[in-house]
Amino acid sequence: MQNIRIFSNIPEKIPRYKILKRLGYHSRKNDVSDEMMSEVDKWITYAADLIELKALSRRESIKVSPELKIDIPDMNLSLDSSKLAALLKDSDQLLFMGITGGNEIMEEIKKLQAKGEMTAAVIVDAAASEIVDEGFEWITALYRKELVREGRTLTTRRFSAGYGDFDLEYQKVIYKLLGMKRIDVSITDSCILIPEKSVTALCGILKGVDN
Amino acid sequence: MEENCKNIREILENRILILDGATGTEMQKRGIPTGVSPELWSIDNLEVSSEIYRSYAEAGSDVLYTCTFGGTPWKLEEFGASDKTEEVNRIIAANAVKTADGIASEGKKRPFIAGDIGPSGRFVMPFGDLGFEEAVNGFKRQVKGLNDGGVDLFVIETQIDIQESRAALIAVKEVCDAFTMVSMTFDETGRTLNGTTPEAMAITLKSLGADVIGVNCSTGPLEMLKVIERIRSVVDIPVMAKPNAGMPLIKDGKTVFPMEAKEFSSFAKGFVEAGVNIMGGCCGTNPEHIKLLAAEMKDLSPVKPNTVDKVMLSSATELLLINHDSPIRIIGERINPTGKKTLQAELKAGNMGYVRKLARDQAAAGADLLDLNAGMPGINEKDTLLDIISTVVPAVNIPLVIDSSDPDVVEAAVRYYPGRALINSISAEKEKLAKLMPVAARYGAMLIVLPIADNELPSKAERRKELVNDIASEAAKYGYTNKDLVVDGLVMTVSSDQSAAAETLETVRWASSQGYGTVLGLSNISFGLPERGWINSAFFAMAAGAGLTWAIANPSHELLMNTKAAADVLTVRDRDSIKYIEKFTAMKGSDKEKKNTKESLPELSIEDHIVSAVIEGRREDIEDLCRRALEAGIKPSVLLQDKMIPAIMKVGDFYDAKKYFLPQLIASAETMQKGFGILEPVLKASGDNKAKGTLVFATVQGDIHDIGKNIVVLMLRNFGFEVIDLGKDISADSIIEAAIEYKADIVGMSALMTTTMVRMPEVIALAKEKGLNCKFMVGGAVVTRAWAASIGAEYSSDGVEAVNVASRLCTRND
Repeated sequence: MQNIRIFSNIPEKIPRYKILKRLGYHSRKNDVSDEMMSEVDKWITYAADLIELKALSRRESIKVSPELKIDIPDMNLSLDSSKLAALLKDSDQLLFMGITGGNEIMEEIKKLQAKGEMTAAVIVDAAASEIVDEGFEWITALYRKELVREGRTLTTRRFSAGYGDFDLEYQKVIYKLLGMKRIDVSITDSCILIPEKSVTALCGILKGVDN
Repeated sequence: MEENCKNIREILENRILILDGATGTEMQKRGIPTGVSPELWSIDNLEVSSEIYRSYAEAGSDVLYTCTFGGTPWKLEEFGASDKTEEVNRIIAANAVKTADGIASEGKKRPFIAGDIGPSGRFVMPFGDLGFEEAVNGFKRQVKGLNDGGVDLFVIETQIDIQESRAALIAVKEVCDAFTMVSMTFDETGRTLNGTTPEAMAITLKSLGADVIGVNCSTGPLEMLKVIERIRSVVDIPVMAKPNAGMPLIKDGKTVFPMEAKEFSSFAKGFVEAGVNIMGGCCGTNPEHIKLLAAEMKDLSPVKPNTVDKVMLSSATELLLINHDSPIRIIGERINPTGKKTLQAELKAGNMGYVRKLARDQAAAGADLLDLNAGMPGINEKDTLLDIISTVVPAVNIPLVIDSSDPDVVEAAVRYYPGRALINSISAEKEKLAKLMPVAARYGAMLIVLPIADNELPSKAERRKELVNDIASEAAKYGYTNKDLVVDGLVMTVSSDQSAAAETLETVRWASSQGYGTVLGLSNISFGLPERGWINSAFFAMAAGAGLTWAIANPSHELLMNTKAAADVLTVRDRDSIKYIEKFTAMKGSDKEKKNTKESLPELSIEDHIVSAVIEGRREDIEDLCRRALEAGIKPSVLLQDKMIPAIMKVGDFYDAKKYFLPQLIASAETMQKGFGILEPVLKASGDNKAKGTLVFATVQGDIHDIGKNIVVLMLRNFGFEVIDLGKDISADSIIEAAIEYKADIVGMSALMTTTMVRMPEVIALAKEKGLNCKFMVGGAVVTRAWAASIGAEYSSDGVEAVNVASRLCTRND
């Protein structure tokens, strides 16, 4: 239905609160010194500097049957997941997304661990995960802006292979239909995307305007 | 006054022009099917488009947009019609013009027809994969079609990417130079999706020659008002607004725009007061919204904008204001290969990682702008400079200075740079001046004026002043005023002529008095002298006193940056010394903290210091403390068993109680490990290092995630367990082989994926097959307590729990 879009330079946003939360931070419970917090912030910035977000997206028409089966007619493909089908109940299109933070950040995490700097490695790892995930926020915000012209929008929730009854093996299908090799991402037999900070997600595109 | 397309500017001084409302929904009402190209459908249904144009004209629209929002070659490509770009746009434009003429022939006011250019759906370099010139050429095809169709003006709208807006604007300027409005979309945070502020957008597009700038789509009127006010604060050209009918809502699975026409039109006065000259509606609006808006606007007159007398540069995202009373602006000098071997080698190899680092380091050190220079033998200067811009623009938010002596290189760079650039530099050399001045003016760049002429490098200030005046006279022909020019005081080295400094300072003093900006390349002054930092800083302070506004320098130079902070106070450019106080209070605070730690040392015993170092995760202190404890004759086993292990257990308790979060736990574990590194050789020598148990640990086959496992290993080692860490992606055979070899008490396994956790029972089955009598411990993101139990393994959710589980299992084994 639509060509695959490549986003080669997504502006990075540092979701500091989400990173801290990922590291187990509870503002009311934790007792964290200023020194430790500046160390955390230092490594978060360091991670952001090393991440290079690249992403792909693809929009396809879908049919969700009452039996909660998702068909993608143009691709002769069916997705079997009642949870995903429930998310897509008001959608007639599906947005596939894949994103990577690049290889440099993973190399640096390995180096930090090898040097015994586990505190830094843990913070950089958490920051990388959240910054990459935040890239999806940028892509979905872009689509929302564009879809508003069509009187459409996206589902608020995203879904990924491995969630609920949406088998992780679908990661291979999504990888292939997005052509993630183009952003230097590969996939293992066990559905792991490499570089490690690479993820895929799906969103429903809701039907038209009504005013 | 008869209104026609030649006098739009004049009309805008006298009244508010009304734009149309949404077209897409009007087409939907008239039967456009879903999934088709509105442009191609429009060609097959020209009478429907005419009906929509008429409905808006009757509602009071002065300007009608052609139905060509998706008429770019990239959008038409999606419907296999890219090759018809010119034709599609021409037919639609001609139909709109015919409709407008028809309205006029009925004795009614003829609406202006604006050739509508929407976004390409791609991102343009350096933000995306669409080449800049490819973008310009693609837009030119659409512009040509619209122009051939006879449109009166152009509107580039709903733009997200400032670089794409520039490409489209350049396309219009290069095809027909018609009156052009550009509007971008901003979200509730007041930025575009790519992070551009309204101010940066306004300056970038105004400099490039946009006749009107503004905002459309994305938000309702209320949110848009704030953006309009921000745009108006920096430009005095006409401003437009085309808000949606409120913020879209999802109702019963469909998008709904909630604002009715009456409420929408009630914002008219507010927009006019905020400085809007042109207003219409975007998504969710219809002729009724426009009718009521036009009625509200009828008796309102445009507010005359204040003259904006500020010097402004912009990056792709931010605005930089520079006045004589602004703090001295630092231009980071480090991206210049002259005399820099590492940078030369990286540029020759085409590696931009080092350039990105230099850019980020300088920005972090306080540079306000970055100078970019790619002049060195052995590389293509133009291509390299464009690559540098592509690298630096997404990496930092500060404006760039294009530094080259080759006018062709400068032209390529300012054309590509997605902001308002400063050119370094333009001199009185005749050929270069003639070539560079029109280029600078075309792209709206500011200029550094270098007072040198053909074969002449004047040593005296008087001659420099003459040359500056010559260049300024030429610049005035292109609309430049003194405030747009930054005079380079021409720094000569004092090691060859000690009076050179005074001539430079006199040039700065004079230029400042004439209303020019002033700049110095500071470090030249001390060339050939030892300890150059002192000379540079002293000279900087003197220049600041002479009125210097900019300095090309290394922002990582602490002495120089501190001198700048002080000079800004003494020359009243740092009002109430706020920045100076902030800078030095912060520095003093951190020094005081360090001092306190050291001073308090004698109050505690060395063992207590070790305990607090582990608890506080003070990795930098622990090794020294352990050495001192050993020197003091304290037994390593006592330090380990009675002090450090209880301390790390306390940390574990803090973590469990959520008093600590993960970085604190790991920092303490790291501290413990470092301390143990000092004690271990002594413990071994005394035979006091009996392990609590032996564990073989691995991330299972097919899985490459290991940071969680590494944390667990670190924690276990700290608690006195011997851990054989096999790494990641380890086969069942290798795990069992190691368990046999090391006589493991426990085999620990980690997996992060549902596809790899299934390897865990395979390992356990193999162990049984081999007759191994060890315990199993598993963990990882997808592993649950129930799953662990189902395969006959113990579960641990994190490092602290792993220590507890291992302690329990090893006690049982004993």
